[in-house]
Parts: sequence; structure tokens; C-alpha cells
Amino acid sequence: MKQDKALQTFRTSFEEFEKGLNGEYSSPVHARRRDAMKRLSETGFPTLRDEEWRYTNLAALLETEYVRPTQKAAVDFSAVDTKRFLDIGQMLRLVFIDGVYAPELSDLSTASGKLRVQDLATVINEQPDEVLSLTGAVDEGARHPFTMLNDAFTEQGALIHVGQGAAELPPVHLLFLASGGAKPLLITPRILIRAEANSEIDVIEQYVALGDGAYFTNAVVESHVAENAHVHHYKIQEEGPAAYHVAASYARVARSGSYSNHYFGFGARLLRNNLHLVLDDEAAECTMNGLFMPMAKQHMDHHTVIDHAKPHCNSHELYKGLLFDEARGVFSGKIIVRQDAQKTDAKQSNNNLLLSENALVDTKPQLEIWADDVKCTHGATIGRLDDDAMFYLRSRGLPKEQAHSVLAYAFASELVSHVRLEPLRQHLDDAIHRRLERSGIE
Amino acid sequence: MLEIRNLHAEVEGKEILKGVNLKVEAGEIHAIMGPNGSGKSTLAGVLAGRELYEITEGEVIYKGRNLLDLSPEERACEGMFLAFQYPVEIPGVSNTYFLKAALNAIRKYHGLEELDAVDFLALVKEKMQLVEMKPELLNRPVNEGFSGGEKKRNEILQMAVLNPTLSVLDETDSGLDIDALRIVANGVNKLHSPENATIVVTHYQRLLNYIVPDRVHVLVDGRIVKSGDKDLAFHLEEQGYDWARDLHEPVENES
Ligand SMILES: Nc1ncnc2c1ncn2[C@@H]1O[C@H](COP(=O)(O)OP(=O)(O)O)[C@@H](O)[C@H]1O
Ligand SMILES: [Mg+2]
Repeated sequence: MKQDKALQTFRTSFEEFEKGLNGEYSSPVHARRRDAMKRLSETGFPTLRDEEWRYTNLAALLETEYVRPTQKAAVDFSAVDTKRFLDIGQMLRLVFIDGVYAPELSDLSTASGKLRVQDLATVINEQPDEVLSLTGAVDEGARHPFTMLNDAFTEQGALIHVGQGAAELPPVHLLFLASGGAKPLLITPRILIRAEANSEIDVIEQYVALGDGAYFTNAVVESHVAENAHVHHYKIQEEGPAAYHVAASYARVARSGSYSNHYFGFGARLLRNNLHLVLDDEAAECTMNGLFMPMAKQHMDHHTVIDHAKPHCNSHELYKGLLFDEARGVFSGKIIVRQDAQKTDAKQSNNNLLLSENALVDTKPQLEIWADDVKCTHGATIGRLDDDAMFYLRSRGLPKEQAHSVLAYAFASELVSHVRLEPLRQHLDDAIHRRLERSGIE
Repeated sequence: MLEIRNLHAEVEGKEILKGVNLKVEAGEIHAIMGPNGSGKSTLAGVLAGRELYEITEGEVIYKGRNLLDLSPEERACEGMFLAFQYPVEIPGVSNTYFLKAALNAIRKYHGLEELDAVDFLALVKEKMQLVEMKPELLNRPVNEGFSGGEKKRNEILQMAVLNPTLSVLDETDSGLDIDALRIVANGVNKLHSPENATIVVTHYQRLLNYIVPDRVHVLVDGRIVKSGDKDLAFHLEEQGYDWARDLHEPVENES
């Protein structure tokens, strides 16, 4: 029932969206949107009976009625100092307010011939074929319903094109600011990344809420990593206490290329992050690192899929959860090793620290291995702060609270150490410390 | 400085300390010897405030205050220091960070300004010479991957930096070769002064060749069964603990 109502609401929004399109209505990009809306209507949204969604209740998310953001944000952001959210020196910055590109707050002055960064709405207008060539290239057959939703509303977002051999480029910062006002908004960013052969780029995707109201971020990122190209993708989530966030990142990696995804989660009431990476040729490599620190009643669900399609590829995955109060965490990591993918080396671990009696985490490795000559290791732990270590610190004079946060920070900091941008590490350290200060460890 | 009166302690419902009496004055070094499992580490843990142990009877007066009312961190700030028999490894926390946090917590407790990085490093460098510790151990996570001897030196380094009033060294000699033993003992002796006191807990007499105690106590089955001067340690070494076990009546400690 809720499902039908939610679908109906999204369909109504879609019709309104179409009305505003004018000439673009008959474009191939829009045909794709219509197709996605149609498929979503047929598929519907998942329920707890779906194996892939059994730990995450979407009822509250689907009960909320969202409106699409109008071109003008409800809040005046002109005075906002965007450096406040992340100050990492020279970079290209695209700012979005309630999902809508804000050129006046953005800074593309360090763009070059080798690094093209554009807001997606412009690209859809000017080079629709390019957009089509970069969307749906990964996982077209098995798109999640929420990816279909994003497909249907694809308009805002960014395109990042890194030219052949381009390296030592400034990082690209995509900052999504949500006003979090009275009216729940539907925000559907689409980010397309193409890294040509032998190039290297850092992309930071950051979500921040300025208000406490409900809204729904439904983001999709697609990365195409060519031969010997390297994409470092960071996602930092600092959303509001009533925010919903369901997102998917897809990447396809060619020969000797690498893609790393670093997730840091602090915000949102409900988060579901899907990662789906395909190692598509020999010697490709990927890293999936994640740190999530839900507090209060936050729910953070991570589902990752790594698809070893070809031989001699490596994947490393490390997810850590620190859960406070009544928070809930989910980790599901699937490793697929295709028959052809001999000499695969896949490592996965998920370690969780429960910092309260009432916090809960579910962790589930899933291995589908069709090749015989492979190395696959996985391990999961759920624990509490070590009593011996606590006593050791306190016996040296550290107050109990400080000892707690020293140990919790030590657990979390491993993920920060894998971030190669020093100023970003600083930002993350601060965010972790803030979370440790704000939430009680029992 | 310290007076333990009729102390009884249990762990998981099992009585380990069965009426310990001990008095330690400033400027003194006491040795507590006893066979494995007699309760030496339990006594040390009770003094440092380990919550694992339940005190069922008795009291401990330290610098005129009831020690058992204080949290482990308050005890540390009041000058109590336990060198652990098994120092704990803390992955992800660097040794320097840990030492600095400890020192500054204690300084803060006494209303002193926190030491900045430069002054702190100078202090640590000076103290490290005392225990001849490799400088690279400073940047490593606390005790992680340290050898047995390195862990024990690290305990004494912490002691040197934190400058406690009452130090309890729990089997600091175990696992040390003779050179390391000499270095550690030398460090402890240099830190000793008329204002502070040291309790050396050990299984063997060996350490007492280097750290000469004013009093030696024999702990058997949760009680101090005999106390004496440093010669008692030699006697124990010759006779073995069976001799001590046969001393049925616990003696009053009259130091
Ligand atoms: N955490 C514990 N749980 C159960 N028993 C313990 C624990 N710690 C110590 N004990 C028991 O208490 C007794 C004394 O141990 P301990 O104080 O470590 O002796 P010592 O240091 O003299 O060798 C032993 O019988 C030991 O098994
Ligand atoms: Mg012991």
C-alpha cells in the first residue's frame, strides 16, 4: 500500500517534471528517463521480504511525500562560505543547493583541457550523447529500484572527464548542501566520471545539511576507469537527523586501472549505500573502505558487490562501524569471482564496535566463487571496547570518557590513514572527534 | 604513605586476598614475593583500581585518603603507578600520544598547564635514556609488536615521565635478560627518592640483587605469611616457597 502510494507520488512528480521540459521532451535522454520510470512502476520498491533489503525498513522513507526542488532554494545561500564544509586548498568545486547547481558558489577556475568538470544539466543540453554513453554502462541489467528512480529524474549533477595521461590534478569537490527545510525535497544527483587511460583523479562527494528537516537524497555515481587510470572517490556524509539517503556507486575498471571508494558516514537518519564494482580486465584493482558512526536512532546500511570478471585482479575491502546509542548498522559484502577470473586475490573485512548496550549491527559476507585458483579471505567481528585497554589508559590518569574516545578513535582512524589527501584526513579526524564528543559511550 | 589493613578481595566469587596487611612509608622499597597464583597481581590490581576485583573487607589508606574510594584515574593523578605484569597493546594509539595524554591529564588534575609538544618531547628524550629505549618505539602503537623486554622498559619509561609517588612494579623482571634487567633496575633506582616509595612484586630473588629492598614480604595464598629484611629473600631462594607455605600462622607486619 505504502509502496503504491509512494510510486504514485513519484509518478506525479515525474509528470510535473516532464511538463517543465519543453523541447527536451523528445530527446533520447528523456526517453531513457521515461523508460526508467516505467520500469520502476513495474518493479516497485523493495520490502523487508527482499533478501537484499531485509535489515532496512523503508516504510518511513516511502511514507514521506517529497517535492522536487524548484530552481530557487528556500534558503538564501549566497552568504554561505563553502570553505566552511571542507577546506582543502586548491581544487575544483561544484556546489549544489537542494540538488540544484549553484554556479555562483562554485569554482571551476583551475579546470584545464585535461580536466573537464561540468554541471550535468548543461551537458544534457549540449552533449546528450555523452551523457547516454556514460549512464547505465555498469549494471544495466540489474539496476536497483532506487537507481531507476534516479534514472527517471536524472538532470542535476556533474560530469568529470579526465583526459588521457592527465595526472597531478587538483581534486574535484562536489558539495551537496541541503537546506533541510519544512518541505521534504527529492534530491537526485547523478555523477558521471570518465578517467581516460593513464590518468589519475581524486573526487570528493560531500553531503551536508544545514537544517534539521526531512529530505531524500537519491544519488548515483558511475565511474568509467580506463586502462591504467586511477580514480580515488571519497564520499562524506554529514546529513541531517531526518534525512534519508539511498545511493549507489558503480564503477567499471579496465586493465591495470584502479578505483578506490572511501566512505565516511556521520549523518542521515537512514542510509543505504550500494557499491557495485566490476574488475573488467586483467590486473585491475579496487579498494572499498568505509567508516560509519551512527548515533541516536540512525540506521546505516552498506551493501557492496565486487565482481571479479577477469583474472589477476585484486580487491581489498575494509568496513568499520562504530555504533552509539540505539543505532543500527548493516554490512553485506558480496564477492563474485567469475569462472574466468583465475588468480583473483580478494580480501574483505568488516569490524564493528558497539559503544552502547542498545546498538546493533548485522554483518553478512557473501561469496560466489566460480573459479578454482583464487585467494579469498573475509572476516567479520562485532565487539566492545577492550576492558584491559580501558584500565591501562585510566591507570595512567586518563579520565574514563577520554579513555573511551582514545580507543574509539584508534579504531576509526585506520580508515582515515588510507585517504591520500592530507587536508581531507584532517577534516575527517575532526569529524570523528566531533562525533565522539557528541555521543555518549556507555 | 600506604597502609593496607585486613584486605580481602574476590574475583568471580573466589576469594583471592584473605586479609593482607602492609605498611609502606615514603623513601622505602618493599618487595612482595610469593609463588604463582598467590595473589600478587591481584593485590597490585586492587591498589590500581581494577574493577574486576571485589573488595569484601578491609581498607587501604593512601596519603591519608581512603584509596578504595578513588577511580583508577584519580589514583594515577594522586601519584599511584602500576607497572603491569602484562602491559596492554593498544593498536592505533601511538606511544607518544599516549604518554602525552597521560602526563597532561595528571598535570590538569593538579591545575598545571598542559605541556606543549616541544617541552614534552624534550622530557621524553631525557627519560628514554634512563631505560635505553629505542627512539622508534615512541611512534609505534602502544606496546604493539614490542618484545617482552621492550614492553617492560616502556612501563618504566611511563613511570619516569609520570613521576609517581607510589610505584608498584608487578614482575617487571620477568622475561628480561640480565642486561635488560640491569637497565630496568638502574632506572627504578634512579627514580627512587626520599619522597616516593616502591613496591616490587617478584617471583624471583634475582631482581633484588639490583633493587635492594628495605622490607621483604612473603605472600602465600592471599596472606602475607612472613616479613623481614632483604635476607629473607635469600632465605626464600634457598628454601623455596614450600618452606613459606608451611608457615601456617600469618604474621603481623611490623615494618
Ligand atoms: N580474572 C580472573 N578471573 C578468575 N580468576 C582469577 C583472575 N585473575 C586472577 N585469578 C586467580 O586468582 C589467583 C591469584 O592470581 P594472581 O593475583 O594473578 O597471582 P600471582 O600474581 O601471585 O601469580 C589465581 O588463582 C588466579 O587463577
Ligand atoms: Mg602475577
